[in-house]
Amino acid sequence: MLETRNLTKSFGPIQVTKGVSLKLEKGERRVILGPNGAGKTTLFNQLVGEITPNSGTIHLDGADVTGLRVADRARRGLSRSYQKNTLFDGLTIRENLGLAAAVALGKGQGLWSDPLQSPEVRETVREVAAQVDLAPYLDARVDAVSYGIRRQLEVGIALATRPKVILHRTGHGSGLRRGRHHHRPELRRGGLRRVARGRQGQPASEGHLFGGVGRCST
Amino acid sequence: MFTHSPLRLTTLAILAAGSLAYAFVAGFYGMEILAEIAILAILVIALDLVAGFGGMVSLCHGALLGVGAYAFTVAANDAGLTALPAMLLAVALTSALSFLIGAVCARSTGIYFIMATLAFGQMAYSFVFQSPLFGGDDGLSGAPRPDLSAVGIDLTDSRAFAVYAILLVAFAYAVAAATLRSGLGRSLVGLHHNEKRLRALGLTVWRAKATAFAISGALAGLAGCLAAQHTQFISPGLLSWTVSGEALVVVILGGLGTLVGPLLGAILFVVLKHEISAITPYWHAIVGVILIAVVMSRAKGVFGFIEARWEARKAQPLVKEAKADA
Ligand SMILES: Nc1ncnc2c1ncn2[C@@H]1O[C@H](COP(=O)(O)OP(=O)(O)OP(=O)(O)O)[C@@H](O)[C@H]1O
Ligand SMILES: [Mg+2]
Repeated sequence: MLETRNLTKSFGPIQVTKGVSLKLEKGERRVILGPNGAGKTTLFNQLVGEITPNSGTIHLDGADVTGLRVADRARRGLSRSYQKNTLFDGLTIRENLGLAAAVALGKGQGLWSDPLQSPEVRETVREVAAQVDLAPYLDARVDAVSYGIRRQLEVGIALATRPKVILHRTGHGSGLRRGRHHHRPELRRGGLRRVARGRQGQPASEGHLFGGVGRCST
Repeated sequence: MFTHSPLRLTTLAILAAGSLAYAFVAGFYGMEILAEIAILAILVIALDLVAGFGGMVSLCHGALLGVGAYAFTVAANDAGLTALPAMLLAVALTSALSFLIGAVCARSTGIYFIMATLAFGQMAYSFVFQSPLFGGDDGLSGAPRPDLSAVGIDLTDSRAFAVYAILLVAFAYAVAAATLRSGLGRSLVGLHHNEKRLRALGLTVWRAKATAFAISGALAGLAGCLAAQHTQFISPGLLSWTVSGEALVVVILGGLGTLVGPLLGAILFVVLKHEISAITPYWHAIVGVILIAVVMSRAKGVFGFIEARWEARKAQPLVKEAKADA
């Protein structure tokens, strides 16, 4: 699903990413771990397309996406969440999910119909809302709900694009640095639903990679 | 996201019925004011589309209006087109120019976006001002009004022209509302709230911004055509950045991001201008005080204030029920 070959990235004299090759198969879940300054964020940003590697390639579902920009990679099925919730404040949860689904379906520039009313988008919104337990809050405004619900929506937006690969980011924390990530139920028992729920105050890692998520059949 | 609440639909119906009724009873002076309101109304609808919903505060909409007015006049006077094709050409040209401006400015946001649009506006201004083709300082006269005699309408009559102007406002509103309810309109609002996320979801942000700007610019160009047809004389002053500033004042006064509000703002602004300037030459100061009051009240302009009252009124019974329960 997602593969890098010999990825390198330097900032001036400091080589941060040194020939990283990783492979994520369909259905696999992988975690990127490392102490502060190890280069996790730098690697993550190369995967999503926010920074360009100096050399090496990134393949998504067999296709070379190294030269593609953020939006182009997203349209090919690469979805991400943010460490700090990055939502559409001022809109409702339904509108947040609907917008994400509409853009992912290529309806974000259309002029002749309202994508939020389209059956496809509405169906996606319903499914994702059920997946991340947001169904009761669909019509609440995002800036009026609790942190936990906002966190669920953060993952919901990433899922609403029906991605092939999801790059999930969680916050900083000491637990993982001591290699105790297997204590995290979301990683141990698996299932994105767990991740979506999260738990407050838990130690967290930097970035997770999940491959072939949800109902994606590719 | 943009919706037509019952309050908004009611307001629109009242505005449409009221202005049409007024067009039939008003004297010459009243009809001049109606036409002036209509021109400003189209311009502020255009501006609210990008500024209120998309967060792209533009200081070149006055210049876009001017480009529309000049393109129309030149197309009709020098290229020998009749009024309707000249209008289409002027609107298309303004729209294309706006697409370019939107595409170039798409990368910047906030104050930098404002400054970039201002720079484009000033470029258009000095181009028109200095080019001999456009009559320089003297301006151009002789812009024709559409010839609708085939359907028995004489637009040289000021009453017919006022009705025509109102219909153009309705058309501009319909275009803006349809845009806001389209995929592009939904993305536009999303961009305003979180551009970064929308890009990460797969939206080609610059193209969405440029397209929205092109639609807005087309409407500004339409306002320019109407302005040229109204006074049948145009001067570079139309492209001045103060026109853009005034449009922004009207949008904020009426209600940024409400689409209906700017219509109220346009009426209020033109009426106040005429009423107060009859009493004192310092009418700008009075409008300034009103604007400060509106901004300080934290309401979304006059219409936002009405909407907030309306919501509060609806919410009241719920509060009472809750009290009764307790
Ligand atoms: N834009 C940049 N310019 C220069 N140096 C950078 C830049 N971004 C990161 N670095 C350096 O690269 C190294 C790796 O940074 P990165 O942020 O990827 O680490 P990290 O693993 O995410 O750390 P943390 O756990 O603290 O988030 C650090 O030494 C950092 O100072
Ligand atoms: Mg980091």
